[in-house]
Amino acid sequence: MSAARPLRVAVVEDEAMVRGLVLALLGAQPGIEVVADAAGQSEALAAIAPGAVDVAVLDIELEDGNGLALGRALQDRDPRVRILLVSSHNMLALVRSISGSAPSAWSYLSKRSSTQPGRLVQALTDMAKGRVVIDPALVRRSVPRTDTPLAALPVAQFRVLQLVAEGRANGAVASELGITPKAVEAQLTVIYRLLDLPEGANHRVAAVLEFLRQSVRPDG
Amino acid sequence: MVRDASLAERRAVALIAMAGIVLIAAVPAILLVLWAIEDFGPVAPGGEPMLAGAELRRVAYVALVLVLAVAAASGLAAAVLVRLHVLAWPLRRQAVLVLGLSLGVGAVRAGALYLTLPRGAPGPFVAAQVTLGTLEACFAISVALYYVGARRRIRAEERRRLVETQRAERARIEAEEEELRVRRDVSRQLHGGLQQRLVLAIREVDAIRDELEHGRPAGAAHSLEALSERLDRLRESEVRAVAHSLYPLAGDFSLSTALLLLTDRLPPSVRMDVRYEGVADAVLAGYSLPPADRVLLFSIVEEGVNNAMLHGRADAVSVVLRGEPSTEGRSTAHVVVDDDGTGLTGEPTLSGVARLRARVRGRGGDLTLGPSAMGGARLAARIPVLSPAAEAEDRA
Ligand SMILES: Nc1ncnc2c1ncn2[C@@H]1O[C@H](COP(=O)(O)OP(=O)(O)O)[C@@H](O)[C@H]1O
Ligand SMILES: [Mg+2]
Repeated sequence: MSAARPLRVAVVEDEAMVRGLVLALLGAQPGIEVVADAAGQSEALAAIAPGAVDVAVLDIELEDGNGLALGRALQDRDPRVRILLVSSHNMLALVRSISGSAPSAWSYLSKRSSTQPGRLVQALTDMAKGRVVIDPALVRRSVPRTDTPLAALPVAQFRVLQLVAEGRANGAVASELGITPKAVEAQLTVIYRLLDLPEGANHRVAAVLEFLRQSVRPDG
Repeated sequence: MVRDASLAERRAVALIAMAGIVLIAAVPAILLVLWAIEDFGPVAPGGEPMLAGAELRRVAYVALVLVLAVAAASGLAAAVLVRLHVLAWPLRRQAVLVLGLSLGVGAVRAGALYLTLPRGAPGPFVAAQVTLGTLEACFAISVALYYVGARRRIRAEERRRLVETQRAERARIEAEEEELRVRRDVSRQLHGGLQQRLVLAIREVDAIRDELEHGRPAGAAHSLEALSERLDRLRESEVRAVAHSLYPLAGDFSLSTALLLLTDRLPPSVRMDVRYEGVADAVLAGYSLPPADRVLLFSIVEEGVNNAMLHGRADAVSVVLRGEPSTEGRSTAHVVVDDDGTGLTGEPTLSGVARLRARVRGRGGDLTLGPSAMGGARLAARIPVLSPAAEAEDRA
C-alpha cells in the first residue's frame, strides 16, 4: 500500500447509532477513506463496486441477510477485498471455519472493540499490511484445548502467537515483549514447526487459524 | 389419491348395488319366459301352452340380452371405478373367493329349482339358472365386501385423523408450556442476574463520583476501566443468555454454524466432534431446514452436551446428525449425542430430557436416553422434518 493512496473502507452495520459512530470515527482518520456504507446486504452489494474497496467492515446481524453471506458474496465478486467481521457475540469459531476456504482469511473484532477508535484503526491498518486481526480481548481470553499442540507450547511462545493473532507485526511483538525482532522471528519458526502447519501455506495466517482451532473461549 | 378413492369407492358400491337390484328384478321375468318357451310353466286349462313358441322365444332372448348387457355394463363400470383395488393382490384373491362362492350359490339354486319342478328341467333352463344365480350372488357378495372394505378404510382414515388431531393438540399445549417456561426463565434472568449486576454497577459509579469529588482522579480512572470491563462482560454473557433464551442461536444461523459456535464455548478439556451423515448432510447443516426444526435439533444437542459435562463429567462428546428422506416432502432427522462420561445410574429423574421428549413427541418423533457405546450416556432422537428440497443452501 503506497502512502499516497488511502485505505478504502466500506461499513455495513444495521444499527444506525453504531454505524454513525464508526463512520465519524473513521472519517476523522487520515489515511482511511470510507467509500461506502450500508445497513443491509442488498444495499451493500449495490453500494460496493468490485475493486472499489480494500476492507469491508461487516456486522453479523444486518437488516436483511447476514454478514457471513455478504462477506462471501463480496469475496466471490472481488477476491482481493478483505473482510473484517464485527459481532456483539463471540463468533470466532465461525470466522475460523470460513477463513479455511475464503480467498483471504477474515479478521474479527467484537462490537465493543469496533467502536473504540484505537482498536478499529489499528485493526484496519494491520489488515492493510496483509495481516489477519483477531480481537485482542478474545485472544487474551483464549485457553488451549487439552491435548493439542497449542497446549504444549511454552508460555513465551504462546504469548508471541497471541500477539501475532492480534495482528501485530514482528516489530510490535518485539517491543511489547521487550525482545529483538530477530528473537521474534526465531520464536515463530519454532511455533510453526510445533503447530505442524501445512506446507506452502502462509504460515503466519495458518498459525493464527490453528491458534483459533486449538483454543476455546469458555466464558464468551 | 386417498380422498378421491374413497369417493370413487362409494360411487362404485352404489353402481354395483343398482346393477344387482336390476338383475335380481329381471330374474323372475326371465324365469317366467323360459318356462313358457319350454312348455314348462303355467299351462292353459285346455293343456295347450299359453303363447306361441316362436314369439315367446324372441321376447325371451331380448330380455336375456338386455339383462346380460346391463350386467356387463355395470360390472365394467364398477371395475373401472375401483380399478386399483380390484387389481391389488389380496383383493384378487378375494375376487376368486367371491366367484367360487357365487358359483356354488348359483348351482345350489338351480339344483333346488330342478328338484322342486314337476317334470324336470331342460338343459338351457338349468344353465341360465346357474349363470343368473352366480351373477346375482356375485354382485350381492361383492357389494357386501366392498361396503365392509370401504367402511373399514373410512374408519381407519378417521382414526388416523383423530390421532393427528390429538397430536396437534398435544403439540399446541406443549408449545404453550414451553413459551411460559421461556418467559419465566427470561424474567428470572432479568430480575436475578442482570438487575443485581446493574445495581452493583450503579454503586460503582457512585463510588467513582466520590473519588473524583475527593480529588483522586487516578483511582477514578482505574475504577472506570474496571467498570467498563465488567459492563462489557455483562453485555456479552448475561444479555446474550437472555437473548438466546428468547431466540436460540440456531434460529438465526444454520445448524452447523450454531453447533460450531457451541463448540467454541465448551471448557478446554471437552472435545466435541460433529458428524453429518446420510443424504441430508447439506440439508441438515444448511439454512433450508425451517427455524423450528433447527432450534429443536440444536436444543437436543445442547441438552445432550450439557448433561454429558454436568452429570457425566465427560471429556469427549460425539454428535451425529443423519438425514433420511421419506415420502410426501417429509424427511426424518436423527440426532445422536454420545459421551464417554460416567453414564446413567438407575432410573434418573428426567427434567430437561423430559421437556425435550414432550416437544419431540409433539412433532411425531421420539427421544430416548440410554447407555452409550462410548461408555457414558446416549441421547438419541428421531424427528420428522419438512424436506426443504427447493430452498437455497447456505454453506455456513
Ligand atoms: N450424559 C449423562 N451422563 C450421566 N447422567 C445423565 C446424563 N444425561 C442425563 N443424566 C441423568 O439423567 C438425569 C436427568 O437429566 P435431565 O432430564 O437433563 O435433567 P437435569 O439435567 O435438569 O437434571 C440427570 O440428573 C442425570 O442423573
Ligand atoms: Mg439436563
